[in-house]
Amino acid sequence: MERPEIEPFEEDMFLNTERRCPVIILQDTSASMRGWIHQVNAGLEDLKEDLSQDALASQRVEIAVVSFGPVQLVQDFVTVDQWLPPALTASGSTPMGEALLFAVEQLRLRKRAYREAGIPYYRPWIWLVTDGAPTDDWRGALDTVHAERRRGGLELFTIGTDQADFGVLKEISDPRPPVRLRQAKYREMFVWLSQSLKPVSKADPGSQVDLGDPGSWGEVKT
Amino acid sequence: MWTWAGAKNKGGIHGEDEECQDALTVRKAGQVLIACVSDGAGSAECSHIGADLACTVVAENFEAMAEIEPDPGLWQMSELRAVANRAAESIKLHAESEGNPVSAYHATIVACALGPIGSAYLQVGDGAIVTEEKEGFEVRFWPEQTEYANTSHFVTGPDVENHIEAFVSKTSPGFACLFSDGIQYLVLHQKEQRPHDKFFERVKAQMPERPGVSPTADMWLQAMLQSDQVCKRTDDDTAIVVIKRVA
Repeated sequence: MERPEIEPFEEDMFLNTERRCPVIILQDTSASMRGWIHQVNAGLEDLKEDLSQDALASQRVEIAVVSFGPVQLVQDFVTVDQWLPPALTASGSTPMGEALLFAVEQLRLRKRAYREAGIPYYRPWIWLVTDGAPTDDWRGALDTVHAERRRGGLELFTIGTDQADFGVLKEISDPRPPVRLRQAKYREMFVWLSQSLKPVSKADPGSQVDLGDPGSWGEVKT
Repeated sequence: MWTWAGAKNKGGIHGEDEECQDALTVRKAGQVLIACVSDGAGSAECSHIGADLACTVVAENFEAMAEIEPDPGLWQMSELRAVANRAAESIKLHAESEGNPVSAYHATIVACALGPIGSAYLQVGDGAIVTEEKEGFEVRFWPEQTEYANTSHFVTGPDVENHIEAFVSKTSPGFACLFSDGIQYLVLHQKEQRPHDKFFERVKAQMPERPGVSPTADMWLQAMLQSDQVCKRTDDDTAIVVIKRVA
C-alpha cells in the first residue's frame, strides 16, 4: 500500500505536561571535606552536563543542593536546564541528623507545591554523601526518615568515603546498603547518578528503585 | 457500523533488544466493536506478555458476552468486573506455568465494547478512554491516581478488586479513543481533569467514513506516536486505538 502523505503534527496538538523527579544532593561540607570539595564541585558540574544531554531528563529532574556543616539550602529545586551548579566550600561540623530532617521537609514542601500546581511527579531521591561521622543526634532523625521511606515517600541513597562511619550509614539507609566511594571519585559518582536518573520505568506503587552496580566509583557495603 | 485504527510505539526508555510493553487488540463481534489497550509495567520483565494476555482475555470474554447479549449497555457490572479477574487469573496461570512470579507480568487494562445502542467500559490502572458525548469529549474514568507519575495499579496486583473500574451506558458514543499512560500526560489536562480537545479533534478527523479497519489511519497514528512532538515529551511506550461510528 502506498504510504499517505502525512502532514506535520502541530505542537499545540499535545500538552506540555511537566513531570518532575525531585532530587536532593545532601552533601557533607564539614571541615574534613576541604581537600575534596573541589572534586565535589566538579562532580556537580558533570552531573549537570550529563543530564543536560538528555532532553527529557533535563526538564524532568529537579535538583536541590543541601549542604551540612552547617545545614543550608544552597540551591532550591530547579530543573537541570536552569541549574547553575554551586561552588561549595567546606567548614564546620557534620550535623547529619539535622540535614536529613531538613531534606525530608524540603521534599514534603516540594511535593505539596507539585500537587497544588497539578504537576505529576516521581518518587523523590535523597543522595547523601559524607566523609565522616555525624556530630549531632542523628538517631533522633531516624524515625522520621524511616517512616517516610516505609510509606514510599522517598528513595534514600547513602555514599561514604573510606573515613565515613558505615555503621551509621547502614542504619540510616536501611534496607538499602550504603556505597563506599572509591578514591574520591566524586565526578564518576555524579555521572553515575545522572545515568541512574534518566530511565524512570513504570512500577507498582510499593516498589523500590533498583540501582545497578556502581562500577568503578563505588562498592556496595552489605 | 464502525471504522477503527490503532498503533503502538516502543518508548525511548527501552534498549534496542527490548520490546514495546504496550499491547492493543480490536475485534468485531456482530455489531459490537471491542477494543483493549494494555500497558505492561516497565519494571516487570515479562510485562509485554502480560499486556498481550490481558488484551486477548478481555477481547475473548467481551466477544462471548456479545454473543449472548449483543447490547453492551445491558451487560452487568459484575460481569465486567469478572472479566478483569479472569484476565488476572489467566496471567497468573501463565506465570506459574513458566515458573515466574506474577509480578513479572504486571499490566493495566483499558477496554470498551461499543454496540449500536449501548456501550460498556472496563479499566484497571492508568491510561484512559475518551469518548465523544453530546457535551463534547469526556474521559470515561480519570486515570487512577497513585502518588507518583511512574506507578500504577495492575490487573495482576494483589488488591485488584479495589482498582477495577466498570461502567455500562445505555448510549454508545460516535467516537472513542483508548490509550496507554505513555501519552496520557500529552492529551489530558491534569489539573482540570479533562481531555485536550485539539488532540482528539485531530485524531477523529483522520478516521475515514468507510467501515472496517483503516490502514491509512493506522499509519497516521503510527507516525504520530513516532513524531518528535510525542517523543520529546515522553520516553514511555505508547499505544492508541481510535474508533468512529460510520453510516
